[in-house]
Amino acid sequence: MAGKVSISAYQAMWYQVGIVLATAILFVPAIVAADARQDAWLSLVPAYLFGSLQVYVATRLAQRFPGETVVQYAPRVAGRVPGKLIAFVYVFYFFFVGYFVQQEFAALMASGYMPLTPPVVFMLVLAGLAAYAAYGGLEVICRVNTLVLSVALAALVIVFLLVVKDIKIWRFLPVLENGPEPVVLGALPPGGWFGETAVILMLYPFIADKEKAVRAGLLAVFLLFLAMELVVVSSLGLEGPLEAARFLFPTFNVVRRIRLEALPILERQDAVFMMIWVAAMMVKLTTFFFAAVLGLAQWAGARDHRTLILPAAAVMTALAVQAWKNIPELFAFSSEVFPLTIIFVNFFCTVLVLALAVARGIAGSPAGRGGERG
Amino acid sequence: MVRRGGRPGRQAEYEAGLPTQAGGLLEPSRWPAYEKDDLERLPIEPDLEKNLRRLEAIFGHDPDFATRRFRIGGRVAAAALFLEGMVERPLLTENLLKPLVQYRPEPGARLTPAFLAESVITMPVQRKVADLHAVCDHVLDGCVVLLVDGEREGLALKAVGYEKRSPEEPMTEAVVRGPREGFIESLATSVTLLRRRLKTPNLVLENLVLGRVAHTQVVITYLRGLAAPELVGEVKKRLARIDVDGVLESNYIEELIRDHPLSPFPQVIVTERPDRVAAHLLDGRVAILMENTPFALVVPGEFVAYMQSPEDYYHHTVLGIFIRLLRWGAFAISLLLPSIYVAVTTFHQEMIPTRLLLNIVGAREGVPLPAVVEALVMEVAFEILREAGVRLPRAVGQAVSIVGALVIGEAAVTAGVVSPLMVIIVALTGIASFLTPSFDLAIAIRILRFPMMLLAASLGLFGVVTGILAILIHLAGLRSFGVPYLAGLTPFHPQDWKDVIVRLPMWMMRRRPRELAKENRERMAPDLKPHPPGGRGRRGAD
Repeated sequence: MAGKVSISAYQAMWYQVGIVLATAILFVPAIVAADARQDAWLSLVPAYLFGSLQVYVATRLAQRFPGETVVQYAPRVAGRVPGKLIAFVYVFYFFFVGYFVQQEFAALMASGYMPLTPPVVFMLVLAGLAAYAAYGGLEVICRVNTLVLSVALAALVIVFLLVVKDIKIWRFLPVLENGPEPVVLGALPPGGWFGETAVILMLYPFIADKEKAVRAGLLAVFLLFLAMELVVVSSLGLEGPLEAARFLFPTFNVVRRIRLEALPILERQDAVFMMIWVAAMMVKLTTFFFAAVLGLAQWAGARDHRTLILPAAAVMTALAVQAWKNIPELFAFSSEVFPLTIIFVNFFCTVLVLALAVARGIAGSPAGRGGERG
Repeated sequence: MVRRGGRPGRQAEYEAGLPTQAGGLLEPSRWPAYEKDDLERLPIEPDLEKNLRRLEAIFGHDPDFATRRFRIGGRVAAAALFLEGMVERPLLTENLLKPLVQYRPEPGARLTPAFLAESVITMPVQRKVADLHAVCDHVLDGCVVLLVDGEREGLALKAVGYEKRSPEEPMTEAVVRGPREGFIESLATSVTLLRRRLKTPNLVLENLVLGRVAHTQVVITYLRGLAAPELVGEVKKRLARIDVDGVLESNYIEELIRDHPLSPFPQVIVTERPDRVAAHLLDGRVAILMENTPFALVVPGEFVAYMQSPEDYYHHTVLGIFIRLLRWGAFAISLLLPSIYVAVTTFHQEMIPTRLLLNIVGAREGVPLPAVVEALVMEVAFEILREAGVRLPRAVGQAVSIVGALVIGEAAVTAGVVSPLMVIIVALTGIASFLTPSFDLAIAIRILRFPMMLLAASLGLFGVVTGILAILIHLAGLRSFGVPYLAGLTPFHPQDWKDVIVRLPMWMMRRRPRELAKENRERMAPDLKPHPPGGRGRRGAD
């Protein structure tokens, strides 16, 4: 009775929120605060606009080829060899984000919670879970994401409510001390992160109510904007810009800083927050891993992506292990290189493909070749 | 055991009567098995004695097989065949033997079965039988078969009357408020219990016989117009596949129709409460009833259905909300509490408030085992006690529970083998698992608790969350008869949530669950919320 795999546009929206939030929350507050200082909360506004633009472009491109993924139509749009090259850039990008997530996760665990455990253990466990979910397919990932994200957002709001009494308004002053440049500069990393919603390029063929996709995508970026504001405001207001920029994971520090005289049991519960975040990271990794495996299968012309899952998981973990030597290097990479890399793929490549498609007048048939088993 | 296709030459064996050998009568265990196809090839002969000889060759040794010979109106030879204990004797005497013996037929008139059934016999007729297989089948089913000399057809008459239990309160699903009768082993009674709750011609009951040897009656039942035809078709298809020698309990069926046979999670709802089956049928599900067991099956069974108890709907909604929340909490406790305790005391001591931490450390001081071993030992001990409690004869049950409580609880702590906190944890976990209304779901959780503890011991809270995620991914991938297992939780249908985490008032649950009833979703009229007389709706509206 297993029919065609399909998800609704709003499931896809939750999905887009989930995958960006999972890692953005770890790094973005510190990165933004480093540039924009006390105006970090303002930086999110241009980032939000840029993110909306990216998801809009990506969804429009996807709508041009409703039944196919970008890996499938890129060769038709850009010609065989350059198209395959572009498609490979996408596939590798998904892998890249995948092992970046693994490393980020291992860094979080090793620095904060279990310093004696070798980081590769965390990467392996996470990759194992991602592979298990990928076997289940897109519907499974979506259902898990909906549940995990509901809990994660609830946790975020609860944490905010618990610390709101300690937020000091003077930590946000003076506004625009150094003019607008730092704000714009600080907007780049979160803008990049928001652009990860472009994963819709791989998911679009599976969406049932395609006409809602643009609205859902824009709504996703808006929700992300709100959630990120929550995080940035609480870490700035609680720690001040200097401290927030110095911490590796300011958000987790916010959770550690919950102080309640009446209910001391709620203090130091950052391990619970970590548990929830493990789940969110797993969903993110699974999404990109699934997109990567599906893309790889389509790129190579394999019939079933499932056979690729285990080898791909192994390769991804191996890449993750060798990629960054230590946490400061990872941190520097994620503030200086990573946003630009993903903006290059999510925005420039997508615009390029869209422009070529429009210029050459290529579009997919409305029915498309949809219904690939996911 | 049963071969398909008969053996040639068997007819002669039946002709000869009881199988014999040189030394006399052959041992019954050495008789060749009777095959359906052989029997079907033997028609009822006009010669009554010949028929009876053949039947005695089949049932000859059985003490409960009775042949009552008599003459209709003192002239025509006839015989009633039945199994002692399967039929109601007074019924047989009053409505069959008496009218036939006292009947004075016109001289020369033929006594065809049709004529007898219409004019003489006052018993309900099941059907006409024409071959020995049909005769055997009906006799074994509790019918009386009437054979008349000179006729090629017999009559199977309904006279079932065997010992059966009367409907009692179900042991496994007791309620404080609600109907106190449960299904019983007799299918007819169970069906009646259901009929009495759903008095509509749209309650469809489809009959089916399962088991090559056991011939067990099975009934598929659903509400026409509510249950999706695809679902009914799928249920029938899966039942038709079943080809085993015997179906003795509904789990025989359950294991053969599950979507994911190896998953520990239940995928078919099992219940012995007719009110629960009726409620499920009203949701658009399909139920499978069978004889010889009080347990009915209901499909599809998605996860949240196992968290709903019929009693939720028999009490005030405030209690319904509270109980549901409590139940989900207890569910989490029964799965996670021991592993979280292990993880927190082993890896994340900073999470425990200082006073409590000091207490824990003090209590654990003399304990020689690491927390995880302590937890595993105690959990296994608890499982042993629980399993023993089920099997024990009632008379010794008390003694064992006292010894168990003393040894496991008191003595183990005093001896310093386990810490008192661990006893609390294990006891709470064990009791919490009884809050899950479905025994099957509780089993799954009971078993999954052990790998969770091992994960917690090796990776701390990260291990626990890994386990939760693995379970979640597993659950998200399950389906029960086409319905996603997590239906109701995700995909997100706000309407359905009214009956998931809480149980909102009746008048708010206007629609049937989304994944079950695709069409015909309105359960009740709109605007049923009661008002005090006079002020209808909002004050000052008029």
